Amino acid sequence: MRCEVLAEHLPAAADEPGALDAEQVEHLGRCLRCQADVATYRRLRRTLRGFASEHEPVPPDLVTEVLLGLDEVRERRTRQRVAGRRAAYLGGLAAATAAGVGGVLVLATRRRPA
Amino acid sequence: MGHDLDDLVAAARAGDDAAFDSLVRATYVDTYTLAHRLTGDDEDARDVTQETYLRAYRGLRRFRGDAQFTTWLYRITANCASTHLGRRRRHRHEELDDDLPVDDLRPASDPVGRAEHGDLRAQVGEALRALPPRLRAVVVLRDIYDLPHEAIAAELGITESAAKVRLHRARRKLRDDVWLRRVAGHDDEEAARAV
Repeated sequence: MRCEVLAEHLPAAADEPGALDAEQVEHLGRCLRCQADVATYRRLRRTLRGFASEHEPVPPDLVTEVLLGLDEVRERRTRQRVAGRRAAYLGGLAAATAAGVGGVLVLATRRRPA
Repeated sequence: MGHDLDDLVAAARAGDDAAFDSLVRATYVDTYTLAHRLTGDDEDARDVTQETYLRAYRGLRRFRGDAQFTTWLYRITANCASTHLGRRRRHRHEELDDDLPVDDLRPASDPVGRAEHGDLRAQVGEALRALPPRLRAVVVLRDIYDLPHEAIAAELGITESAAKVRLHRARRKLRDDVWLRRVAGHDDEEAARAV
């Protein structure tokens, strides 16, 4: 096992315990150079993890903009819901009218003398 | 905070719009920060944040609560950022290859220069910002936000093994940019002193 070969696997070894096979683990156990590399990757991870508690400066109007965007979606939904109800009402009305007219026509036809 | 968020999520899922607005107020700084880390740009981060909350609002009923709400939001943010960057890349007709280093030419971003001040945190931050977006995304999501490989792959639209390959490549590049240049800088100093 050469350090150059193991070096390809060391970025994974920083956080995946099973990333190395037995031969690689054995090499790592006795190679100070590779151990130093793993330590560097672990330090890199720790440093990156520390960024989790940091925040970027947020534009002051961002939250207002996001909330306005949501309001637009809600308004659109409400309009669609009202339009849907109106269409259903008008459809029902049209169906009832058609049924009524049809009924009248049927009755009129039946009463006609032969 | 966790319980408050849980209560707000439950209320929002039941149709309480004011509760969803409160969720936005409680989380938008984190969401914007992640969006900024993924896109590396103020305006893009703004667009991604907006899109994230619109998608979250529309999909809240699908949130099952088996993960934390913030983790769910991170995943949506990652997905939105990936879509946003992909669209922008197609629009520009350019391909940012994983292997191509993206040079950040701002003077303050020179890791070698910062190494002299021994500020590891700042150097790592600058090296991270200088990574190509596709490498940066995996390292941000895995090493800063601790998302599992599976989730990262799903949100970036790549396989899990591709996500791992990108992650290892990104870590190696960060290591090279920060530590190897640091050593090189130190050697240069030694040589200059010896002359």
